[in-house]
Formats: sequence, structure tokens, C-alpha cells
Amino acid sequence: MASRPNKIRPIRRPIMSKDSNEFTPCWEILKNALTDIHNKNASQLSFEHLYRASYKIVMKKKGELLYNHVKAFEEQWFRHHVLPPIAELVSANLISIALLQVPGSSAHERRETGERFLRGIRSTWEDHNTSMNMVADILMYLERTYVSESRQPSIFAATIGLFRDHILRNDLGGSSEQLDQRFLIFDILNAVVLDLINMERDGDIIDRNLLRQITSMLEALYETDDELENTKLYLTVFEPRFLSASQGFYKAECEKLLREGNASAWLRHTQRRLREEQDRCDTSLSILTTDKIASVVEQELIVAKLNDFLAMEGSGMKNMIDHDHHEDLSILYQLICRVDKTKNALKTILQSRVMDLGLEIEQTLKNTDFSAPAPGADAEDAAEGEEKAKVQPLSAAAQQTAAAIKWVDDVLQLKDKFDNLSKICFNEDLVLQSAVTKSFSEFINMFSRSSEFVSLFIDDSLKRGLKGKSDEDVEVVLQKAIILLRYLADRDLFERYHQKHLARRLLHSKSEIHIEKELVRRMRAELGNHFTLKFEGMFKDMELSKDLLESYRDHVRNLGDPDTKKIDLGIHVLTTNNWPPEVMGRSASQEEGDRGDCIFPPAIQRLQASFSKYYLDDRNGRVLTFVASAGTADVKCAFPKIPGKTSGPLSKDRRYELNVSTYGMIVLDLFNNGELEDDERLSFEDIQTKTNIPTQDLIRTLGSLSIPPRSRVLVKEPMSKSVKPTDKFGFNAQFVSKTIKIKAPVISGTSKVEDVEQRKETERKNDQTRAHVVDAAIVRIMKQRKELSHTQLTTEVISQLAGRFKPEISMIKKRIEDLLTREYLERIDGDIAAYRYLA
Amino acid sequence: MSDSKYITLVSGDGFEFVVLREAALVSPTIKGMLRSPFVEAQTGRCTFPEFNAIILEKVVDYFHYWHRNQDKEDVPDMEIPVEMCLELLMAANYFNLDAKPTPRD
Amino acid sequence: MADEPTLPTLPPPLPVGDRKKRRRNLDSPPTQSSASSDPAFFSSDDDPALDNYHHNGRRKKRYVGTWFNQQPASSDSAMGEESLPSYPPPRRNRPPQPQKREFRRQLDSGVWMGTEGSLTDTDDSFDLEPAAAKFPVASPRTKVLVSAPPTFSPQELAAQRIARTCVERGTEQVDLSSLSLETVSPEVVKLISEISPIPTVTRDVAFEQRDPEIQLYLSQNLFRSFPTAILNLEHLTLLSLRANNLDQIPPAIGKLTNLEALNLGQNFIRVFPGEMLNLLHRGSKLRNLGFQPNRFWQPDTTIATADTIATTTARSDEYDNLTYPNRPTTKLESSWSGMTTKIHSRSAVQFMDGTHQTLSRFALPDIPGARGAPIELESLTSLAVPKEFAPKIRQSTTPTNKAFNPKGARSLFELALRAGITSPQVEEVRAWALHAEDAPRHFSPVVERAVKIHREGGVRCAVCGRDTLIPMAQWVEFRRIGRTTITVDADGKEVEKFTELGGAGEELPVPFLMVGCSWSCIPAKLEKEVDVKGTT
Repeated sequence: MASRPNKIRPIRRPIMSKDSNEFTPCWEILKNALTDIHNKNASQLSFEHLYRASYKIVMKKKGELLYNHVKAFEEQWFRHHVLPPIAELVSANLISIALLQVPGSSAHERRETGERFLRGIRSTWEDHNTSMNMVADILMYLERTYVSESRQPSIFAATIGLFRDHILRNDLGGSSEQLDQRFLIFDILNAVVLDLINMERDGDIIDRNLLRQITSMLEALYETDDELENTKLYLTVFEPRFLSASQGFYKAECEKLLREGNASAWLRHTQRRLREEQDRCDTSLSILTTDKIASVVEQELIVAKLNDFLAMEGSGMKNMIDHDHHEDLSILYQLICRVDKTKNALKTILQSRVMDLGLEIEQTLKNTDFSAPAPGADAEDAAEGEEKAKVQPLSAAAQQTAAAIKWVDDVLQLKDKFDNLSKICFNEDLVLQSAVTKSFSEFINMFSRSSEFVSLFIDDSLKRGLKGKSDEDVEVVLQKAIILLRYLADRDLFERYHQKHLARRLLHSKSEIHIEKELVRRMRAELGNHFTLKFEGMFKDMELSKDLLESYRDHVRNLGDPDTKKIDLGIHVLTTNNWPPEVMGRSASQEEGDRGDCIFPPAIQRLQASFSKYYLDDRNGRVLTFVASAGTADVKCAFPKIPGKTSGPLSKDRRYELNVSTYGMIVLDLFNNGELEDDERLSFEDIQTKTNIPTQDLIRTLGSLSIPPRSRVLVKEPMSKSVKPTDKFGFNAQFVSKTIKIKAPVISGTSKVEDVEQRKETERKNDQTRAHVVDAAIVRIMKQRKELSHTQLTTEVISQLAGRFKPEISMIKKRIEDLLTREYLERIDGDIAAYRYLA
Repeated sequence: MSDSKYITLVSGDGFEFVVLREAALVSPTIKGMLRSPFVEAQTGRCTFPEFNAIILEKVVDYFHYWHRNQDKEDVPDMEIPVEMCLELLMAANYFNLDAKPTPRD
Repeated sequence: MADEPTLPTLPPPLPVGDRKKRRRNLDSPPTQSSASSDPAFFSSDDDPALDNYHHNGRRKKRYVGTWFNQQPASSDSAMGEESLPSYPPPRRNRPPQPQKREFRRQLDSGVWMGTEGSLTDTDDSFDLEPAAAKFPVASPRTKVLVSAPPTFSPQELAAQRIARTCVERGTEQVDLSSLSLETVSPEVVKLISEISPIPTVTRDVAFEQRDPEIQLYLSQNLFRSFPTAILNLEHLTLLSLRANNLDQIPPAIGKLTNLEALNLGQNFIRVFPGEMLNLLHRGSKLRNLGFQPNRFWQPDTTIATADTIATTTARSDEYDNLTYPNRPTTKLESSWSGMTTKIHSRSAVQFMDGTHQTLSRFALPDIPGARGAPIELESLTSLAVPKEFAPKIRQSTTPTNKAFNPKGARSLFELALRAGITSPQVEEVRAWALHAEDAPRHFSPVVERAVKIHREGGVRCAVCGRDTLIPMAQWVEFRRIGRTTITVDADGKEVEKFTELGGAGEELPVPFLMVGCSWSCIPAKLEKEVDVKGTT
């Protein structure tokens, strides 16, 4: 049969192999090669030849024999050629330096001796490692077959392990008399390495490369020949010792720093140490240790005495904040971030610092004298303040406004300071930011007049400042206002103040409407729609009034009625609900009982009637009330020349244009020509009877017309600085002014800090409103939920009202009781603390 | 010489094969040979007295086949003449080409 | 110019190959002449052989064999190149595929065809070791002696008789149960493969040959090993091997994708091959599966934690999707209902190297053998790999070794082994590995395993789908077997419902042996399950 091409060819005899296949000759070859390798004579050897020798042995199934022979050979080699030079290195001197810490040896000496020893170990290790790699290569086939089948440690692991067993774990026969207990070379090695590291920490220069090689040797060796990843000698022996030695070192260092008492130095030192240790792990030790040593340093240098350092007098955190030591604070922040994710220590101090500084502002306010000449015109000082307000109304008001502005400025400055800290030092950390914000709102709300002050600040800025200011300046003011607003808890109170102040500004055209609108727009964005509803209504009233007035004037012109001769009417129609009650004249009537409206002069009454007719013509069902307390009037007065005077202003007729409040106009009308004799006097009571102006307003009005020299168109008898009900008034025919237009100071035109009485009044009113709001909230909740326990109800009410103010628990309780009696709610039987809604 | 791109493999019957070093390194045996400071590493010349040219050529073919395809997927199998299979099994064994990774590689 | 009538463009020149074909066709007689339009004249018109008068003028095919077992004689059929030929059913409308002549050892002749030549051959440097020469008495052959006796045993003859009757009658149900059979001979299989159903003839409708739907009953026989010959019966729709002595099922059972019913109950099976999941996924045809009782491996549920057992369908699907991303997903046109499985738990992975040596701590028990202790389970969220290779397995992005790159080049060892194992001289390779002085000790188990795998029709890697002779990883998946019903609603959205067989977890899950061809072909590691209860 012909041969088929795909017949399997058997294994041929080797072509030219003259080598024997027997074990002994093969082993002889290998043995000689091993010797050569150790003696660094390998360059003449053929790898193939040696590989084949070991291959043959394994193929003859003598793998185990070869394995054991190699092991035995290496052990013997170690004993005779490697160990003796190492033993020589371990001198008595070395032992005393490394293990006994004999004092008196200089750092230099210790370093020299130690490094010599390490170099010896290193070079032995390198030789051994290289040789064993080569041996393992030659015996590759043994490794891959016999060793892996028999689950023995690999030949490399077994031979490299000799270094561990015969050198590191060698006790040199316990040779030293200086030591009681036996020690290993490994102990010396560790001690020397640790000593070198300590020297480096103290600033010496050491051979880092040498250290790195020693530690990588320890990383390459394992506890056993199984070479389990977590049993590296580096991890099992060296690292624990290194860490515990480092712990001791840093503990001592921390004590030292504490004694020195400089927190800033401590921060910098700790930072440097952390960097150093990281660097050490990168260059001299192993990156396996990086995190562990870092946590040792963190524990010993940061956590252990953190609070002591932070509280340090003169350099602690308080000092850093107060003096804006931004760099220190940045370091502090970074360090604390490492050890505590919640940053509690930092948070607490920051918060208490904000509180302290906030309260300090209040304190300063109390102690500052805003009225340099007049003492005691203090916002907080109750009785006296009221007294002064009466005596020196203008000055007191100005002082208090100044106080409000200072307070706002201080608060904003404080905020800027902490914003800066957050940005520069704390990486805008959200945890810290919210903590600081919390403290801010806490101290701001602890200050009882914050709402009023904020509103005053706005009032002052808009009224005085903004004219002629650039958009940027306006922007700054608006932003400040909104920032402060955010902190306020009693927003309803602020709403009340702002309403009052805004009303005044609007009615007296004291500010620019578009800026007011912008401010309100931002409030709406910040606090929601319901908050700005009234303000927007006010704006709307103003606009409608403007149109209305236009059309009314057209209407009058069209009538062609010449009768309205000199009186030009300007009018604002205000919707009652949108405007503060004070402006609407309601407060006065409450105070003094219903006295009815004041009596307008006939000319004015005609005008009023004409407007009312026009207005109500197409607006049926509305009621138009004229509020005299809120208006102003320009009155043209003619002062006849005084007979007998030939020179000076008194010698001719004078015409002045007086800008007075509506009340002022009414009063002046009494003194108009024709009705009174030149020197006839009217008593206070007369005036009141004729005009029906409320007492307080009348006092104020008469005061403005008779006291300040610049607008003294009336004479008062007796002359004094205050108006009393017993005074009498007459026309001041001798009035002279340098300007044609004269403004009689209108008290109601300036916003000022309230005195205690007013404040109580405001609060009372506010509480009334709050009571209604709480009532509404309770009813709304109960209507929906039908039944609720007392605590649940309270919680819900608070959460519903959070955007407006923080209701007091006692108030809620009172309102609930009130609603119970009004039978909106009832108690659920047998359960006192639960309510049911009554439909 | 040692860092040349090619190495020379010599069969027992004296044939020489020039192989891309990178390709030949697929064999842990050759890798070990060229890693240690032995004669082969210095000369870049490896002699295999126990392999004849026919087998060694096939082994060299495999080196190149592997090198060409080392990063590819769905590699078609290399043709192996049936009659050579036993000898190639032994060669694979000698050159450690049996998909048995060595931890030290 | 454009408006002027132009001549139609010439057809493009034909490619060279085409032209050649054409020329050949011209040489052959005109096609019309050979295909007469006359009605069939002879009764032998039904003879399939007639179909072999080809229109393109090829040589007529010659046929050999008995009249009922006719097959085309091939002039140059290779000598038994495939040890297990497949038998597609005959089709009337197309000629039978040229069939390779099968070569079987006829042991009575004392000559094995495969080795005959080699024994007489001297010029090709053949000098087998004495041990190799002895191989005819090597142990594996005794089994063959029993299964293929020189003269047919009575049981075999009975089986052949039944099969032949079926062929004659066109019966698709072949009942060979209770015949005390120990194997199914290729003769019987060949007979069965020739069964073609009697077509249903309707007036005025051109009758159409349909695929046969063979139902094979082999229950209550004496099979000790799976009759691999039947794996080639492509059109098997029912197979019952109930009540035999089987202890394992070959992976190639996964090829029987037409099976609608399969009964393997009352045997001694330890573990199903992973390939059987081919029959148990969505879109497959299997409707009924009998698998109890058997001697399945049991999962060791004593140390089970929340992550060890997939209790939810979602968890189970997550595992399958992550581990077997390459499994084809059938797009269902309409509703479907059939047998499926859901992962319950799995063992650790046994990692092996290219020489079939286990490297991992975990190893599965030998497959034939005692039922043994319950199989230790590994959490679905962890994966133990041999420590020294762990980094390479995890980041197998630069695979330079077959161990880590499943689709890369195979090792030279595997290539050579494959060449030997798939050749007809496989026994020679076995004998050499087992006995030869110069064969390394670790060769023999590798070769034995490769031979077994090849003989059983090959093993496919469960993960990447490549066939392999040297599995590098294996593990057991315990799966719940059940019925999935998928309804497709009007929007094309699928609603899936899984009902476990045997009710609410009464039966223990069934083990499937999964094989990976590389160390990258291993189960996926799931994320830790979020404890839903904990969050509410």
C-alpha cells in the first residue's frame, strides 16, 4: 500500500544529542552551572544546554530529585559563601548602636555604621536575587511541570526564601553578651532603618536609595514560601515597627509643639510632616505605607490635641479669624478635612465666633454715642429716649437712623469677612457655609430690632443716597438688602416696616420708583409672591393715581370752570389694604377715639367735592376718604410790608412759597387774610376746634410753623421750644426768609427708629396680624386633616409659616384655645392633646 | 547584538532561522534564554540540537502566526500537518507553548 | 444630443469566471432535450435515482447498496474522515447529498483500516515504540467491542427490524423501548434517518415534501452511555431515554434543536451539559422536558447568603445577560411558550491550565462517580480566581495569551493536539501519550479528555461560543427549570411570565456544567443587591 501523507510521524531520536539522559551527568552539568552563576561566571554558559539538562531530568520523571538537589545545593552555598561576610558586618559596635541605643554615639557615627551594614545586606541580596532568577529560568521546565503538579513552592520562592531563613532570621548563635535575649539580624536591620529615618526627620541627609532597596527587598520576601500577598515581610514585620516608632516620635513632637504654644507654627509643622512622610514613602519606603503613616501623623499631630491647639491663646483659631490669617486657616481646613469629614471642631469655633462678633456689634451699638452733643439719645434706652425724642425730635431720629445703618454695615462687613474666609480658606465648603449662615441668622434674630433696622437701612439708602449714584452702587445696596433679608426670621415684621417706610417714600417722592420696583422684584424672587403683594399694590396705586390725576385735570379744563383758580390738586388714591394703617390715618383715630375727620378750608372742600364727583362717577360703591395727615401743600403767602420799616426786607411786600403738610395748610388757612386781625392770637384749643386736627399732629404741625426760625410764619406765645396746649399763636408779619421757597420741616416725612412706645405698638399690631395668620393656618390644616394631635398640629403650623415668621409655641397654643372657644375645633374625647375640625 | 530586532534559531541539523525577537518571546523558554546573561543573550543565537529543521520551521511559523494575531480576535487556526502532530506536541512542551502562564512572566 | 435616440447600452462584459461557465454549458447538450415534457412513463419514475439526471450535463451518479438503502457511490470518498456522519433526510425534489463512505472498524477482520497502511508502510521513518505497537489491546477498545459486535445481536436485529418497518411505512414514531438495548448502532440510526413521511396529497395541490418529525422512544433499555449516534438525527422531535442507566449526557445534545419533547428521567445523571441550555431558551422548540428522578448534584444551600441565590427573576436575568452577552436573542413575532431556565446559584469556578491541571482551590467532582457531597456555592457577587493570575484575568484588555484572550490564537500545543485528535489516527496519539517513554507525564490526561470531548461532538465555550478541546475553566450552574410564556401585545411589547416546574420550589434546581475556553470566559460578577427593605 502506498504511504499516505497524513500518517503521524513518531518522535525521532534526537539528531545529534550526545548527552546522556541519565540523572547524574545532567545534574553534574547543572551543579557546575549553579556554581558559575553564583560566582558571576554565567556569561560562558549556554542556556539551552542547561535548560535541556533540567528538561531531560524532568522527562525522566526525576523532577522531585532535582528539586531537592537544587534546594540542598543552595542551602549549602549559603552556609559557606554568603553567611560569613554578613556575620562579619554585625559588629559589637553595630549591635550596641542599633539595639542598645547606647548614648554618646554621635549621629554621624551611627549613620556611618548603619549604612555600612545596610549596604552589605543590599549587595548580598542583589547577588542572591539575580542568581535565583537565573536559576529559576534554567529550571523553568521543572517549575512548570513538577513543581506546579506537586503543589510545592516554586523553586524561586524556595531559594529566595533562603535569604529570609538564613540571614534575616539568623540569630548568629546569640553571640552578644551585651544582650540578655536573643536577637535576629532582622531586628538589627529594622533598628538601623528606623534610626536612619529618625535622623532624616531631624534634618540629616541619609541615603534614601539604600533605604528604598532594603525595603523593596523586604517587599519581595514573604513569611513562608507560599508567598501569600499579605505576608510580605515588609508588611508583617517592618511596617508595624515603623508605624509604632513613628507614633512615639510624633506623640513626643506634639507635646513639644503644645508647649511652644503657637498654633500657627503647629499648623505649618504638621503640614510639612505630612508632606515629608508622603515623600518618604515615595522615595525611601513603599507606597503601601503611604496611607497608614499619614493616618499615624494625623492621629498624633492633629486629632490628639486638636482642641488644645485651636483654643490656644493668642494664636488659636479665634486669633486667626480675627486677624484674617488666611493662610493658617487654609492649612487648618485642609488638615481637618483629612481627619474629620464633619469638621465639627472647625464648625463649632466658626459658629461661636460669628455669634460673638455678632453680639459685639450689638454691644458696640449700645455703647456708641450717635448724638455727640446730646447724651443718652439711645435707641435702646427706653425712658430717656422718649424724653429726648420730644425735646429734640430731629436729632434723635437722625441718631437712630445712623445706629441702624451702622448696625447693618457692621453685619454686612462681618458677613463679608466670613464669606472671604469661606472662599479663600475653606474651599467654599458647604458644611461650613451653612453653619456660618445659621449662626448669622441666629444672632441677627436675637437682636430684637433687626427687622426695623434692615428696613431703615433700605429707607436711608434709597432716600438719600441713590440720586446720582451709578447702577453699580445701586446694585450693591440692593444686594446688601437682600442678603440681610435672607437672615431675618420675622419677615412679617420687616414687611410691616418696609410697607410703612415705602409708603412715606412713595407719597413724598423721596426715591426713584424704578429702584424701588427692582428691590421689590428681588424680594419676590427671594421670599415669594405673598410677601410683596402689598408693595406691588402700592406701586399700582401710584401709577393709577397718576393717570387718574391727568384725566381729572383734563376733565377740569374741559369744564372750563374758572372757579378753581389758584388751587392745583395733586392726589393719590390709595387702596386701604395695601398701605400701612398709620398712613391711612387709622392709627390716630384709634388713639384718640373717633374724632371724625379734620375740617378742611372751604376752598379745599370744594375741590374735594369736585374730585369725589369725578372719581365716583364711574366707580360706584367706593368710598373716598381724604387723609390729611399724609399730604403736603405748597402755600403761597404774601407778607405785607411792615409800616415804618424803610430798609431791609421788611420794608417791602414779601411773597414766599411755603411747603407744608396738609395739616399745616389747614392751620395756615386760619390765619389767612380777612378773618383775623393782624395781631389777633388764636389759642391752641381754638385752632383744634376749628380744624379738628388730632392733638399729636397739631402739636407737630404748629411746632414746625412756629419754632424753627427758618419757617416761623407763626408766632407763639410764650416763645419756647415746645408746643403746649396753652400756647397762643398769631401771624408773624415780620417773617423774613432768604429763599422764596421754604420747606417747613415735616416730621412725618422722616423715617426714624421708633421709640419704645411706638415699638410696642408695632409689635402689638404685628402680633394681632400674626394671630390672624396663625388662626388661618390652623383652620386650613384642620380642614384638610380633620383630626390631629396637638404636637402634629403645632409642627405643621410652624412649617407652614416658616417662610413668614417663626410663631411662638405659646401663641399657637393660645390660638388653638381661642379657636376651641369659637367652636372651629373641638377636643377629641378622652384625648386632651388632640383636636377635631368642626365643619 | 542583544537588542537586535531579530534573533537566530539554529536547528540540530544546522539550519538557521531568523526570527523576529518579539515573536519568539511568546515562548517562555526563549524568553528566559534571552533574559539571563547567558551565551544566547549575548549572541542572539539560540541552538536547539534536538530539533530538526522541519519541526523548528513549524515552530518558527507558529511564532510569527502568534505574533501576527496576538491582538486579534476570531483568529483562524494555523494548519498543522497531521503527521507532525506528535513532534509538535513535544516541541510545544519544550518551548512551553501550552497556554500555561507562568506567574513570574 | 440627449434627445437623440441612442442604441441601448451593451451589457457589461461578463466576468471571466462566468464566461467560462457559459462555455461549459454550451458544450453540454441543450437542456431542453434531457428534460422531457412527457408525462412519467415508467413506474420507476419514483426512483430517486432519476433525479440524478442532471440538466447541466454532469455525469450520471452511480448508486450502491440495496434497493432500500441506496446511496450514491462516490468515486473518491475520503476514508471515514468524519467519525460521525450526519444523515439528512432524503428529499424528493433534490438529489441526495453525495454521501461519504463510512469506514468502520470491522473487528472480526482483525484489521483496522486506519492503521493498515501504516503497519505495512516502511518508507516513512516509522519506528513506533514497542508500547505503541501494542495498542490494539489498549483498554478503550473493549467498550467498542461490546457495542459493535461482528454479528448483530438479537436486540440489534430487533431494533433494525422495527426501524426498517418504519421506513417502509413512513411511520415517524420509532418505538425501540424495552428492547434491552445497550447502544443504538449506526445502522439503526441510518435507517431512521431515511424515514420520510407519506405526504398528504390533496387534489389540485402540488404536494410538498415536509420535513420528517421523528419520534424516537428508547425508554427502558440498558444504555449506560448516551447513544451518540442519534445526535445526528437532525429531525428528531421527540426523544425518550427514560429509565436507562445513563450517568451523563453529551454536550452535543444541544444540536437537537428540533426537539419538542425530551425525557431523561429515571437515570443516574449527575449534571446536564451547559449546551443543553440551547434547547431551553426563549424561542426554542422544546415544550416538554422530563428530568426527574436522577442523581443530580445538589447545591450546598447551608451557607447560602442573600447574594448566593438569585431569588428574583430580574436578578437571574441580570446574571444571564452579563455572563452570556453573546447569546442570540430571538426576536419573537408572536406569542411564545416553552421551556426555559433561570439561574438559581452557581459553584465557584474551577480554573485549569493548558495541561488540564487545576490551579484554583475549587474543583468539581469527577463526572462519572459518586454523587458526593453537595456542591459548595459561591456568591453571585464574588468570584474567586487563582491569586497569581487574578490581575491578568481582571484586566484582560491586552490579551497576549490564549488563557486570557478567548478568541485569540490557540496555543501550539492545542493546535497540534487538535490535529492529532481529529485525525483518523487518534488512537495512535492516545497510545503514545499513555505509554510512550518520551511523552511527558501530564500529556495523557489532556489527550484523554480531548478525545472524549471530540468523540461526544465537541464542547463549546459557554461564554464566547468557540469550540475547545482544552477547557480552561468550568463551573456548575444550578438552574430552575420552568415554562416561560411570552405574549406580545399590540404595541409589540412583550409580557413574560415564568412558572417553575413542580410548583413553588419543591424541586431542587438542576445542575448544568458550564465550560469556558479561557480564563476570561467565566461568570460575571453581579453588583451587590441593594437591600430594598433597608431603605424603606
